Parts: sequence; C-alpha cells; structure tokens
Amino acid sequence: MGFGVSEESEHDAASYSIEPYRPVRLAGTFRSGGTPMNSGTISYEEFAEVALSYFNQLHNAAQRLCRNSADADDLVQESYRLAFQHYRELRSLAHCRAWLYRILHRQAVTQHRRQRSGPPLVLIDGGADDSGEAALPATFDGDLLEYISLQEVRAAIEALPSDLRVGVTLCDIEGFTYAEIADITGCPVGTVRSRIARARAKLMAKLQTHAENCGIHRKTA
Amino acid sequence: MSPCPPFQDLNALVDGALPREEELALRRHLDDCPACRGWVNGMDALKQAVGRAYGGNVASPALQRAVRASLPKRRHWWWAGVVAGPFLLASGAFL
Repeated sequence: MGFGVSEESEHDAASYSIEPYRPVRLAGTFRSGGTPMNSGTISYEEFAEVALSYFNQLHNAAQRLCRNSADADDLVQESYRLAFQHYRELRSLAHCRAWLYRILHRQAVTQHRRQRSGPPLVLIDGGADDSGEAALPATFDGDLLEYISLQEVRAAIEALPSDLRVGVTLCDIEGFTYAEIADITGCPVGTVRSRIARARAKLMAKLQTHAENCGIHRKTA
Repeated sequence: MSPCPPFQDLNALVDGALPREEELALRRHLDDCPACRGWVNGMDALKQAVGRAYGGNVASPALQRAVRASLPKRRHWWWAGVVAGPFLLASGAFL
C-alpha cells in the first residue's frame, strides 16, 4: 500500500504550540475545560493530594521535554508552583492530570525562551527535519520490535522533532486521548492526529532501517 | 473491498480515536485487506514498544522535598479578619 503521511494540510503553521516563532500564550492556560472556575469547591488539601500523586509522572515527562536533569527539576518545580497558585481555576479534580501537563508544557516553552535569546528557538529539538512528508517504509513487521532494544526505541523517539515527539509520547506513554493532547499542547485535534501519524511513520521507517542494518529482519522471516 | 483508508485513519484506529461508525467501516475493510491489517498490527506493536521504552523513574526525595517546600501555602483569610476587624470597627466608631 503506497500511502504517505501528508503534512498538516488542515491547519497553518500558527497552530504549533511548541514552536519557536509563535508567542507563548499563557492566558487561559490555567482555565480547565474552558468552563467557569470551580469557585472554591476544590480545597487546597484535596488538590494537593491529587496533584502531588502525579509527581513522578510529571517529572518523567519533564525529563523527556528537557533531556537535562537540572532543567527538568526546575520545570517541575515551577509547574507545581504555578499549579498551586492557580488551583482554584481547576474545574474538577478529574481534569487535574491533563491540567498539570498543560502547565508543564506551557512552562517548558517559557523556560526554553528564557534560556535562549534571539530566534530561532527550537524546543529540545532532536535535530531531525520536520518538513516534508514522513515516508512510510515499504513494509513494517511489528514482530521485529521484539528483537529491537528499548534503548534503540528511545533513541528513535528522541530523534523525532519536538512537536512529533511530544504528541506520540503523550499518547503512547501517558495514555492521553487526542482531545486531551490538543488541550495540553494548545493545538487543534487534527494537528495532534497528524503529528502522531507522522511520528509513527518516522519511527517505523527508522526502526525498520535499523532492523535491516542489523539483519534482524532475517530472524523474523 | 473498499479502497484502502489513509494512513492517518489506521493510526487513529490504533489509538481508538475514530468515531464509532468510521471504526466499524474500517474494521470491515481490515477483514478483507491483509496489507492494512499488517500496518495496524505493526502500529499497535510500535505503540506498545513506545509505551515500554521509558520506564517509570522515581524522582529523588530531595527534589520532592524541595518542590513541596516551594509551594505556595494555603491562605488563611481569617487572620486578615482578625487583624483588620478591630481597625475597621474603630474607624467606624470614629466616623
């Protein structure tokens, strides 16, 4: 089957939330679900208990965003500080996890902008080319993944451009839905869908090549 | 057999992100199309591998302590009342 993964045709470049040339919008970041604030129905203690239960998950996500332990620690600390400062704007504790991730991602953009002066700013980019189509390999045998180390899979993920990597990791590692990822990253759902598809296409191409170079495909044949 | 769907649709199927009717139509296609079925199986395996690729690291207790220590404390507004109340009463009596 000869389909490729098309570029994000249904939206423009301005839809990138973690892209260098777009002003970071923090307005509305703390409002969950676009609905009125909880007007004090969530107590500080309730929020603290739920929010801090996600500490390790958020720290892992921060490490994937920063790739630098010190920056990741700062990012988590600042995100929690903001979350506790604004917890009254959280509509429901059921949205707490996605809300914390949204703050973390927006804060990552802000932190990155502070650290580097002058364009171009590229948030923890893997350096891969994010333009053009993500070509699929001719075939992809899922069984070969049994023979590829997780370290190699991680390396392939980290080589992805940042916007693709964020989408696919939020989906596959954190288990967020497309709608939640759209909310976290500030992108339309169509953009999220497109980015995840492109990320998987790139990962499949890279891992397939790796498998062929290592002769792994012969083992599965 | 219906025409093969775009890659993005197969991808969304793996993530359970298709509307119910589209999902059913696509699954009917998969029954007849081994090529698309192979892609879906491959993507599903990849999704699992990505999920396993990052183990759940535990943040250091020192960091957890530092973060907790830096959090804004709960505001106890009743203290403001205790402090401001007498002043307001006195001001009212004076006026």
